[in-house]
Amino acid sequence: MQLEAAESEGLADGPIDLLVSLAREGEIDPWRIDIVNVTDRFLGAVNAMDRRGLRDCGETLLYASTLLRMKSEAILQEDGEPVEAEEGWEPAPMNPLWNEPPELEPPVRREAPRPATLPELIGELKNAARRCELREIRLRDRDEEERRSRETVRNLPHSERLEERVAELTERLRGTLSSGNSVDWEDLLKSPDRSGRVSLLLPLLFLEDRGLVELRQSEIYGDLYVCPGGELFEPDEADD
Amino acid sequence: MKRTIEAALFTVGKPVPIDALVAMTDSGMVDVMRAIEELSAEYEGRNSAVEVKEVGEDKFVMQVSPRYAEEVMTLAPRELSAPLLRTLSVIAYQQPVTQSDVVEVRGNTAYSHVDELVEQGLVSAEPHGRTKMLTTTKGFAEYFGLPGKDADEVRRYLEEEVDADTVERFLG
Repeated sequence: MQLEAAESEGLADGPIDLLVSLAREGEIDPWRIDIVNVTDRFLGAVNAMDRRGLRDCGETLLYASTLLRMKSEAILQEDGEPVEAEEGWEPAPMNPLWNEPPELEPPVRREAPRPATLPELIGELKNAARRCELREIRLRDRDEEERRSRETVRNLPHSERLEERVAELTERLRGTLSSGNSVDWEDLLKSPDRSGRVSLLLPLLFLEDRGLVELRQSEIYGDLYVCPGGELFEPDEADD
Repeated sequence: MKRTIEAALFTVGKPVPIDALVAMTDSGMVDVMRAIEELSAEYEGRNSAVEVKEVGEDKFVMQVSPRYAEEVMTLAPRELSAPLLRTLSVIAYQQPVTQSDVVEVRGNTAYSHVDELVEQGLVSAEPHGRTKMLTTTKGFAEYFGLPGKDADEVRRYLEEEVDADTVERFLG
């Protein structure tokens, strides 16, 4: 009856089915379970089984291990040794490396770094002096390079005929700025293209640097006016 | 007691005051001194690479014998880094020296170096206007086993040890 119930409930699949089939075939007597015999026959049937899915194999293994434990307890009981199940006991995992108990107290070892020595102190002093000297040489080289760069820039007007252009522009501005008026720099352009603007702006900047004119621009990208800035463009007394 | 003192000196690795050893062994000063002398003689007697010496005032240390120090020091990490040691050497050589002068020689990292050296008891920093006046301490002389503890003595010793080229670089 229990066998039929198991079949009807769909539990007769896998290991349960195996036990049921063993009972049907008369291999085991379900009314008089000889656990040793049942386990042996079950394991034999498992070995003969076709390969199934992981779930079925896992379930089968669980039943097999349970039956083995029941078998071992039965054998021990026959030998007269009482078997008492310990509550909550679980076997510890086997660790082949545990040959002896681990040491609880490590040995006292000195792990401090060593102090610096006097020769090392003197060595670093020489090192510091050498670095000091190298830094001075670097600073000297940098100053020399800056001096050469300034010299190059200073000589640039000569190579670009800038002084001639400054003189020419000064003459052009003399008439206009001497009357105290400012002039829109656009009006001074010889050609409105890029090179014309550069050719005018450079001399204007030199004139401003020398304090002879003032360049005024009330807003960014707004009109740029050239205004008198020095004695050179002061109105003549004779004009007054 | 001698073995206990030996273990203590080995473990600490730095000069240990005699008072600390007396307190540890719970013995009298005379007994502890005798034990230290026996220990020192023992190491010397067997020509050991390790020696027990007195440094500073009533302090004792277990250290590598000087004749072996150079060979083995590459194996052990040093507690003072090279930049820190460099700053310390500049202070020791030019003392008494202002912190601003040291910074001019060593750069801005010298500020943190000075703080660390003061914390380790190797340098003393006294307020001097808007900067500090730096000198080495008694601890510095004990640390390096120098004969004199006075700042002038330390500086003179270094001047004797350092060659003329180095002197010229710093002074010239």
